[in-house]
Parts: sequence; C-alpha cells; structure tokens
Amino acid sequence: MQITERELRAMTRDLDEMHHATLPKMQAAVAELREGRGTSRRGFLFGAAGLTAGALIVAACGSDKSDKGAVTGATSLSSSDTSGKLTGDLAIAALAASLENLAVQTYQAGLDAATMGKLGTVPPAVATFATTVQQQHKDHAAAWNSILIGAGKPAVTGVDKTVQDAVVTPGFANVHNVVDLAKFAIGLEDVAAATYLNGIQNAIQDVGAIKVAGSIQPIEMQHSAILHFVLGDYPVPDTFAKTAGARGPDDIIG
Amino acid sequence: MTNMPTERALNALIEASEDLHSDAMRTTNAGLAELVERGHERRASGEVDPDETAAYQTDRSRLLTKSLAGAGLVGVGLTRLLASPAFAQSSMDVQAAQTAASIENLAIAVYNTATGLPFMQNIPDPAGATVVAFVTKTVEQHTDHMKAFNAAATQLGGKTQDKPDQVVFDSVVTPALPTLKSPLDVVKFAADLELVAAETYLAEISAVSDKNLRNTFASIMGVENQHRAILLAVAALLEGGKPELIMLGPPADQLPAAAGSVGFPDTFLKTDQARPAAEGAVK
Repeated sequence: MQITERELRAMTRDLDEMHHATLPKMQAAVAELREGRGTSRRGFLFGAAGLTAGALIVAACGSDKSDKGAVTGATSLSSSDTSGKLTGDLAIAALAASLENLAVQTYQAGLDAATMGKLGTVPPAVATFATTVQQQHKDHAAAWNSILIGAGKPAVTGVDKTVQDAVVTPGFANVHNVVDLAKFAIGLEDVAAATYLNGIQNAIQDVGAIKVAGSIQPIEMQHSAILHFVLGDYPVPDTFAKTAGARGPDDIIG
Repeated sequence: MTNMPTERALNALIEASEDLHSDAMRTTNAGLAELVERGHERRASGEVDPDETAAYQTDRSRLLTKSLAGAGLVGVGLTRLLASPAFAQSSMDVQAAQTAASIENLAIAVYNTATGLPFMQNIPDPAGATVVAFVTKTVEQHTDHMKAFNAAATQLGGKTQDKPDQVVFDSVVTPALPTLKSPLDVVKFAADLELVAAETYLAEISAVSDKNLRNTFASIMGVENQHRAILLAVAALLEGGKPELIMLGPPADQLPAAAGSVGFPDTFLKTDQARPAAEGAVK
C-alpha cells in the first residue's frame, strides 16, 4: 500500500487520538483479566502489551484446563536438546529462577546470621530491607517458574551452583556485620540485573519472556541503588545499565 | 554504617561516577554506531527484517489494531496501514525514540525548574547538599539518555526531538508546578516522572522492532527506576521528619524500619503509567 509521508502523519495523529480514546477501555480490560474475569486470561496475558510478571503469576497459578494451549508464547519458549537439557529461552528462564533462588537463600542466610547475633546490632531498616527484598526475589523466581511450568517443564527449586560455589559460599564466610552483608548483596543484585539485561539485549527471543525480564531488571537495580545509598556510595553510578557480570545458561543449577 | 560524607568525599564519589559514566557512554556509542550501520544497510537494500516486523506486529500494532477495530474505531485503510511492515519499521520505531527523547527533555526541564524554586535552595545540609548533588548528576544522566534516544531516532531516519513531551507537560506538569510548595512535593513529583519514564521504556522493549533501539530502552529503564528509588527514600525521610538523615551513608541505626523498603514498592515494574509510543514524536 503506497502512502505519502503526509498521509502517514495524518493517520498517525488519528491513531494517536483513537489510542487515547480507547486506552481506558484497554486498561479496564487488563484490570479485568488480572482479576480473573477474562475469558482467555493466559493467552491474552502472554501476548498483550502491558503484561506484568505479576499478572503472569496469576495466570499460571489460576490454571484453567479449558484454555490449555492458549499460551501462545509457550510454543516458541519450549525447547530442549536430545539430552533433555533446556535450551533457548527456557534455559534462560531456568537460569533466572536459579539466580533468584540463590538470592532468596543468601538473604535467608543473612537473616539467620542476624538472628543468631553473628552480625552485631542489626538496624530495623536493614532487617526490613532483607525481608522485603527476599520476598521480591521469591516472587521473581515464581514468575520464571510459571513460564517453565507453562511450557510443561518442572519448576527450578535449586540455585545457581556455579555462582554459589564460586562467589556466595566463599564470600559469605567473610560477612561479619551488616555492612559486609550489604556489600555482598550488591554483588548478587548487580549480577541478576546484568543477567536480565543481557537476556533482553542478546538472548531472549520470546516477547513474553522479554517482558518478564524487563519487569524484573529495574527492580533489582533499585535494590542495588538503595544498598549503595546506605553504604555511602553514589546510588546511581551508571548512566546506562551494564551487562558486565551477566550469567549464562551454562551455569550449573542444583 | 558510614558517617556523613564531607564535600570532598562527595566530590570524589561524583568523580568516580563520572568515570563509570564515561565507560558506559563509550559502550552506548558503540551500540549506536552499530545502529547507524544497520540503518544504512536497511535503507540501502530497502529490506525489512521479517522477524523484527513480525515481533512488532505480534505486540503493539496487532493488539492495538484489534482493540481499536473491536471498538469500531478503525477503518480498513488504517488497519492495513498498522499491519504494514513499512509503518512498523520506519515510523513507529522513530516515533518511540522521539517520544523517549521528549520524556527526557521533560525530566530535564522539570528538574531544572524545580531546583530553581526558592524553597529548594534553602534546604539545610546535609540534605541540601545531597539533593543538589543528586539533581545535578540526574540531570546529566537524563541529558545523556536524551542524546542516546535522539541518536537512535536520527540513525533510523528521523529527526531529533528537542522539545518535551507536550501532552504530559500540558496535562501534568503545568497544573502541578503551582502546587509544589515544599521539597517533599518536588521530590514526590520527580519520582512520579521517573516512573513514567521507566514504564514507557519497559513498554517499548517489547514493542519496537529495531534491536539496537530496544537495547537502548533496556539499558535506560532501570536507571530511571533507580532515580525513583532514591527519590522515594528521600521523600520518606522528609515525610517522616528526618531530613537530617538525607545523606549518602546515613546512620543506619537511626533510619526508621520502613526506610528499608520504601525505595522499591513494586515487585515488578508495570506499564500502566507508560506514555503512548507516538505521543512525543516530532510533528
């Protein structure tokens, strides 16, 4: 279809106006679906603009047998080699879940150490930070596992063993107070954020999975910013987020 | 925890941040150079990547078209236009980049205007110095973001967007400015604008068809969300009557418990505050 630049601009303006006119309807539809009143929640949520990973969890948990197969994104996500090892987007989903599980486990170790008095006096704000962030990481892991489950794969309950063995276990041994813990946590948050950014920029193919990664990466960066702020570092050190430190699907999960 | 930093320490931190910033800019410039090359190749060949176009159509165009058509608001011609690869490739990506630049321009304008308000210039230290340093650095970062988006727009064949998002400026900023009566009002308002930026860019990472433009959005959305986190923390301390704790490295034992979670109220970044992709496009 041949159109002139002028016609294109006019049509774009019309579209923009119509977009504004119908946006409330679209938002209402999304809200309705989030509340479970939609007729094809899972299919819509995987494909719709405005998807949130929170909604994704709702969709996965509220499994409706009647719309089996409606998860259009699952087809492109589903992949494994002949040995049964996950490949492609599903491998990244599994990696992400394992990193989130590792974060959950590490914050728990910090909370346990604090409870046992091994970290000295723990300010209330630090305890709140650890428990809140831990819960958010649990929710992030659930989001990735919902993708795996939706594709017929088992949820990942293990952690990224590669990072655990090389970084967390030796590093946590040197955590003796809340400052050490905060510095240690920054490393984990930055690895998670970098892994998601790398996934979005270089690895993930499925639009739904890109949205999930995109909805989580900025939260991990917030965790990191607050930790920097409390430690006395400049809280937004990078003008552009980096992929340095990103983990890959070759990491061992166990 | 760390005690209140001296001005010298603060300057050292900012200097260190400058170095990191320079590194990041080099990385981004390399990505933009690739974007230029890809854009030239694409225009020279007249080809459109079918996978990229399909991805775009799968998301923004298709859903919007279906939604509007369902509401009886789209004619056959416009429906075809929305589905055309040329529209997706050459128009919407450029408009999305221009809209992003307009949001950055808006943020820069708001920060500069707000910090000129009398009550913002009389905040007692350490909060005053901390806020000034943060705003200075944040404006610089938004300026670099604006340049990155404008570079993407021009390299995809569009014009630079040097103006703010007029819709947000008219409907949100202009009415709000007279209501900003305190540093707390300003900080909360800035946090809201940062959220709009972050959510808009999140929406675009799955909507634009050009990979390098998507990468630019992806590398910036988290940074805006970090700005928001710090602004929310500062707002909470102002609201809680603890302005003396607004400093890099506040004494953690004096922070209220809620300070540990106020900076990240959402477990997942949403897109309900995202601006339409074409809203800030060059007219």
